[in-house]
Amino acid sequence: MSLVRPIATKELQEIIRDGRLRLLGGIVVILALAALAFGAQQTHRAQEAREHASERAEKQWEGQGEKNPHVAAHYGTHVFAPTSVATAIDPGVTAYLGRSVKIEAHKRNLAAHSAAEDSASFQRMGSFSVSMVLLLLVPLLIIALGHGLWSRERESGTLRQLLSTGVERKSLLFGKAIALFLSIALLLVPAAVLVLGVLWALGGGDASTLMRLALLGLGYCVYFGIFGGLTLYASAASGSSRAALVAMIGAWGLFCLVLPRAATEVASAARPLPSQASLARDVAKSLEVGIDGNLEREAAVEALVEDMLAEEGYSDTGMLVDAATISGVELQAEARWEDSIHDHHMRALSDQMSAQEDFVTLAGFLSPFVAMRSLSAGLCGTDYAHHRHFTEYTEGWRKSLVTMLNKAFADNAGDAGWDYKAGPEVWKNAPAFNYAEPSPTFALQVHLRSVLALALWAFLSLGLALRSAQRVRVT
Amino acid sequence: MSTFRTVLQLEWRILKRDRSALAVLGIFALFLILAALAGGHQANSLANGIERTQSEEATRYAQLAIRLSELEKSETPLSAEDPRDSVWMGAVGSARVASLPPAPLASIAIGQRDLHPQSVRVTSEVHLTRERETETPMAGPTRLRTGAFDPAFLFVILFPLVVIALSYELLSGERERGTLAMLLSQPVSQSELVMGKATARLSALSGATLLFAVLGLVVAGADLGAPGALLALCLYAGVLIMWAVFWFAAAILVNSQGGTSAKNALVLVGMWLILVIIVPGLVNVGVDTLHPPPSSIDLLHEAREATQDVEKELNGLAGRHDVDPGSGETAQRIAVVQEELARRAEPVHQEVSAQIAKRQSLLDSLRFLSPAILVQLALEDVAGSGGARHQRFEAQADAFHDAYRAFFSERIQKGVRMGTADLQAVPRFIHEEEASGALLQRIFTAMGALLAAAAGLMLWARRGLGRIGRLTR
Repeated sequence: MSLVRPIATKELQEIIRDGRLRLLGGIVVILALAALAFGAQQTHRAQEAREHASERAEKQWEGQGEKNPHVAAHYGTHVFAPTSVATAIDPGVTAYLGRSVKIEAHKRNLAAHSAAEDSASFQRMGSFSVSMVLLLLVPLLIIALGHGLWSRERESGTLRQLLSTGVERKSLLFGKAIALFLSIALLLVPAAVLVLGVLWALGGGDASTLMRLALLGLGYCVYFGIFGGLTLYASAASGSSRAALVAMIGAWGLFCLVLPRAATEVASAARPLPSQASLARDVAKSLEVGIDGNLEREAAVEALVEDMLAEEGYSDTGMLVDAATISGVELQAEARWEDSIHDHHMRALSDQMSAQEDFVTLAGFLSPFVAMRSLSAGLCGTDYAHHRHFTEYTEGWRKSLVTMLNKAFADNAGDAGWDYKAGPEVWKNAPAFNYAEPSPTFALQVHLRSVLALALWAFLSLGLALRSAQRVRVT
Repeated sequence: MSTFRTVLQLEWRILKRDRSALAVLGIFALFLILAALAGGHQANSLANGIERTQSEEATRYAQLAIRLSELEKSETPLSAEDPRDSVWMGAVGSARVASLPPAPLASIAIGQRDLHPQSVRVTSEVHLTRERETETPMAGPTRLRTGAFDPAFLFVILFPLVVIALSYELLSGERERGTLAMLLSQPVSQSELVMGKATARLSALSGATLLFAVLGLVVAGADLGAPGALLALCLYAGVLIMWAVFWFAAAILVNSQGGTSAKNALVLVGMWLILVIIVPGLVNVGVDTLHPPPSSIDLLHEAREATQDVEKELNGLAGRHDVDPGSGETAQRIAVVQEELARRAEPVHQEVSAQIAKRQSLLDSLRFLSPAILVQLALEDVAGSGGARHQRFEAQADAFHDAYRAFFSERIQKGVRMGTADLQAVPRFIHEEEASGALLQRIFTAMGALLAAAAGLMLWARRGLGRIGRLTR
């Protein structure tokens, strides 16, 4: 086993001395750094835009003047999805999701204003981010570096010589694998340090982000290892270096280009989504006759009002209740009725969307690219699950805001009724919007299937790499 | 010319027995049929959705006409959801649907159809931003991010790899097998030999590709007899052949440099990676950095602030539950306020449009940086899912919205009730296709650019092809 070291040194030197490989490696690193600069700039812009937009929305809300609290609830406000610092590495699906939610009474709005709507039409041909360089280009680099590790040795006749000196096949394998690993590490470790520095500057120094990044780094190491193992096997099993190269580029194309598209196409056919208009029609229908279609809106709201009055201690019908209190309670009852219907339909929609996303990850068992891509977006907080987490918090906040305003109406209006007007002192009392990103374990739980798929791929690739040492033909 | 034909025939015979070449073609043809089915599925579900909403609209209008004629006779006072009430009719009752019908060859490229509304509901309401309900099915974010598995994807991204597989050892293979020296001892020049071999492979590939492309259109259910379909089909074939010519020219250039087959393959795949994957990504980055997309959120705020006073009044009316905003004086005031809202939001909209136009013009010039972008955009144009067609639709829909709003606004402000004749007169959306001249011009520009690039590569290759000694060694 002591021979592993000299073998690895020799292979590494060969890789480093090859001008073409130096060029390839250089290009990949330069692209990664350019992508990092672009990602950091975009993330910074998005963070600033969000801060600016939130401030503006708050100013509009507080400066809306004197009006009835429920009229203010109609006027509403907007809240904006946060941009995690890891977006600089992997923007995931954020460009295709709405970034703002309109908050108003009676309605639960879908997140709107995705960046993709205004982008170029070939944006799907080549998105440019650090994660894309890592997911797409580094595997190609591994293939370029590794496809000849066994086959070239055989083609130049040195394999027979080597084995005749009594070197164990395993030692050769480990030497070659270590050289491949080190040559990639030599390129990527400095880049990774730079990435950490940039994220630090963007404000990602907290424990949760560091934990996410550590997991991300581990994930990518496994991902690269999978391609390394497959390349070593192809190099041993193919008749020539050329055949190994062609086979691995074919596999790369299948994993990274064909299967992701085919899988999402199948997923969207298997878990179809409604159109916005048909969703709106369904919601409107349910608002009239209930979710099951056997309730009348008036009756349902009436029942809720009575329940709520009873809760407040007005159950004795003889007790005098002023008009505004009734109005406030009625509004709240109406809101509850509407919320129950919106919640039902939105949950169904989100569930279906999650199901579609989940369906795609099944393809992770066919392509390590698909598995790593979804895990990467998850760990960077840029996947659908994190978006859903945000929109659910937002809906909770909307309800508490509307409740607060209806309560202000019920408590303060007195005899003025609908003519009662509240001012900034009420608007300032709006509950604070303090959304916090979920913990890294949330991401792991959501992407458990992708983790499992990667683990299976890693075992398969390790097994094949080990077999390659036995499989390689000497002549 | 006869030597050229001999080379051609010889190469044909070799190709017919080349099992790996046939396998590559077979796999590509299989993918192409699957992609056509997927593209056809999307186009059909879109067409069905549009048809559903149109028939829903027709039924709604028929019912309104019946109710109107009954109510006109009876002279009863207005009730809720009364078809005589122009406020309710404009906002809900007689809402129109403006749709962009899928083009005959829609299955070729989904383009931006999954991101941009293809069908919008038009009511008398004013929208500050493009928050309109659409009849296009929603798509999951991962599906949107990944892009569609449509023929355009196969042609733009995978097709060059097929060409490379068929051409990377055009000369180097002959040399490595030791047959090149023998061939050149015949009365044939090296250029003739290369051109003959390349032409044989190009014509075989083009023939097979076009056959399966048309077969794909048929299984996708494309209506090839529709007006404009034949022209689109010819343009489709033209773009594909030019794209193949470009990659054959690249392969000839690489082969003329005298490297080994393995090196040729690596260089060609590298070229593919740069032109097809990396440059489009960089172009996106360049445009996003130089002219960032207008922030719809800023637009929202601008419009909200510009119209805050108006909005206040509007919500002061619309949020009160003790008055019915759907009728009488309140309704008239709301209509006036809506007009004001539209007027004030206009400059903000114009600013955004200007920014989008700036981006578009930068993109128009940057697309020449990669032939892959040219081909993608050309295929989208042929499939009717390109940017130009959609922008025309948006403009037509906006104009229609204005006409529709004006129609009802006039009636609401005058306090006129709707009658059967008015119902017939509600503006109707008819999509006008772009004249085929503009489409032809765009596609011919793309084809010309591809041909020019191919010619440039061939000129470059001529020097290398002249030096026979180095190549046969």
